[in-house]
Amino acid sequence: MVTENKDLDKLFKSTIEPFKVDPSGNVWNSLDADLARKQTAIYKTKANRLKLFSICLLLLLISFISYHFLVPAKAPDNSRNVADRISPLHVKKSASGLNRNVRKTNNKPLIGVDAYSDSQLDKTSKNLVKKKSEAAKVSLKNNNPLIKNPEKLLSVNETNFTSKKNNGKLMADKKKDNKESDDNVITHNSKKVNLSDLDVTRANQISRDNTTAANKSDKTDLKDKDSLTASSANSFGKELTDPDKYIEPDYAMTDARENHLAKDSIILKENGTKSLLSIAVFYSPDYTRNHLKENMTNSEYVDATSYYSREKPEFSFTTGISIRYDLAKRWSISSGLNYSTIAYSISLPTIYAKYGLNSELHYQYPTSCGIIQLPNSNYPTFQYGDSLNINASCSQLVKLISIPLSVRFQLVKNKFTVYATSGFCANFLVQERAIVRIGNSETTIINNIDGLKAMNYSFLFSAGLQYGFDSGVGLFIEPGFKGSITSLTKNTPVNCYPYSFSLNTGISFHF
Amino acid sequence: MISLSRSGEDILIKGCIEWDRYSQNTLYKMYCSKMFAVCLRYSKSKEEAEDTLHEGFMKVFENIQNLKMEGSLEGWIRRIMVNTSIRKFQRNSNQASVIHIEDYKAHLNHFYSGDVDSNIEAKELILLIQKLPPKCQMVFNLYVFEGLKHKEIAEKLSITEGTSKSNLSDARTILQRLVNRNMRILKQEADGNRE
Repeated sequence: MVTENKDLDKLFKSTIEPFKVDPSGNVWNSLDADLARKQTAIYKTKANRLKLFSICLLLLLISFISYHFLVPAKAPDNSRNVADRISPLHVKKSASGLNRNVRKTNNKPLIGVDAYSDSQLDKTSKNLVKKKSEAAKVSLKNNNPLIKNPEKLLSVNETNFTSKKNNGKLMADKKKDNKESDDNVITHNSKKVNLSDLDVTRANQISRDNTTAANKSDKTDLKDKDSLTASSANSFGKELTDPDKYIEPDYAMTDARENHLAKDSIILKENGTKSLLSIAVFYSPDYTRNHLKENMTNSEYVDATSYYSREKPEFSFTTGISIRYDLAKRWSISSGLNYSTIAYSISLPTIYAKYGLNSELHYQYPTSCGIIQLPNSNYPTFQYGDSLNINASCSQLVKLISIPLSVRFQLVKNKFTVYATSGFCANFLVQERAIVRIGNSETTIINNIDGLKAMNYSFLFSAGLQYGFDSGVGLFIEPGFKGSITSLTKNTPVNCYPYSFSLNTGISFHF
Repeated sequence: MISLSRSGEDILIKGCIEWDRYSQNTLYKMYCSKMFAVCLRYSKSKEEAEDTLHEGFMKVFENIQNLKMEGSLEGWIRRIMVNTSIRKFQRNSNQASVIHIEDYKAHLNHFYSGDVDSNIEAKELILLIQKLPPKCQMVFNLYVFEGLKHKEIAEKLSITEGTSKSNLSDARTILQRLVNRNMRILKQEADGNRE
């Protein structure tokens, strides 16, 4: 007769423990089918990850290419290049004569140079001075009546080479002055005279009259640069005060050429005034939830669904600062520093005493974001498994500092900018705080929650709308989603993957 | 039953991590009979036990990459089977909890008067366990076979410690009477044979 409980337990344990029985073959067949299905799903997931990775790489590649090829690069400081840009038109129009000669002499352009750097501007300005002096020479020697108001032209030209801001106006002035010049030709000579031919004559005269002992020449080519410069320096002061004695420079510039230069000037202006960097500050109320997965490696089995029912999200927020760098017209990358909170309220009917990660016995309050260790001073425990059957509520707050890295694509760029952002984020745990209320007592526990990891990673997507003011200030609103890639917890019965919906609102400054 | 050395087991685990079907089949064949016996104890029928076994092995193959090589593979698989059984029980716990006290008494009387096979072997003992009320069956299994304390059982099954003790007591009472009855039958049969 089995009378004692121990005997009964022993009988069952000793008889059943070594017992083995084979299941039917259907079990493996159905298992095999499920494994095949699961394998396909895993391959699909891997393929999707690969796709996502490829897309990210592609975005980076496009950004890189855009940065290098689409953003206008600064021209090298080489006046020869600048001269080459205008030489074909210039030489074409004046088949022979002063312009060609001067180009030969100086290897530099006289007019219409769209300078890109200060040094080039200086060089072209010098050329202009030479041109002025040369024109003055011609004027003084020949008393040419063709040009009524060359001062205007010259002053406009000078402005062109010394001030980037007046480029657009310059083109208009040039056109106007060219027209005036043409009118003058017709008025004073009764028949149209080829200006370049006239220049040849004038150049010959300049050459002859300014010949010194050091640099005499009977040819039209002005081979000696110094002589021209010297004569320019001597005559420059007089030229400015005697407008009637000037000759108009040869503006061998077609309308198309002028338009091209005007366009370049606008680009120059844009590049010169706008920085590629912008900074933004924002704030977002967040709706945060946790995606939970049972941790099968943990010795303790807990049904993850039980957490969903007893935990409710509380008000959470994210605020921070971000710095954006424009890679191209539409693409930019941004990073920054964010501060965010994850808050929950939890209600648990019973809590138990267990050993924490520090091997000390505590009453434990399990949450999806770690296991709160209640201090023994408030809730003393005597042995493992002691329970408190009092309804215990808890407010948990996890504070994080995040460093995002994202790529932004601007769909529309105007006063209103619509954009989409995608990227990754590294989240660092700053503080974990829990307020546990058991009965009438309330205990605040700070940084004593087992299982929270120091860092985890998230991905983020968002789409936004920004209104930009002329001053470079913009206001934006940006709904977004942030989800954890890695678990926020470790060595806990459930792995926690927080996700949140946010609504970023903020202000950006484009320098 | 296939038995492997530790290194052989490691190779097998590696194969399972790589989702190699041959390795998975080998692992299944190694432990299916033992684990099926475990599942039978926690189930009400053979079909239910097979279902638990299937679900448990799926979890084994899905999570084998998380296996820490500190304990034995068999212990880890067994724990998964037990946890799967508990989860199944919890899913059906609402249904079990609506048994009225009158029905419960009738349930007990059924066992007291039931005709039980006189040959007390493992199969029969498992059948006796299967016929226990669900909570009694679960508590008895966890206490006797898994070696858990009442407080741990209470936490796992979301019941109070007192309920756990009460369920164990009921389970023991039922099983004791059934076993004694069967032993008496066996003794009588043996005496009759002698005469």
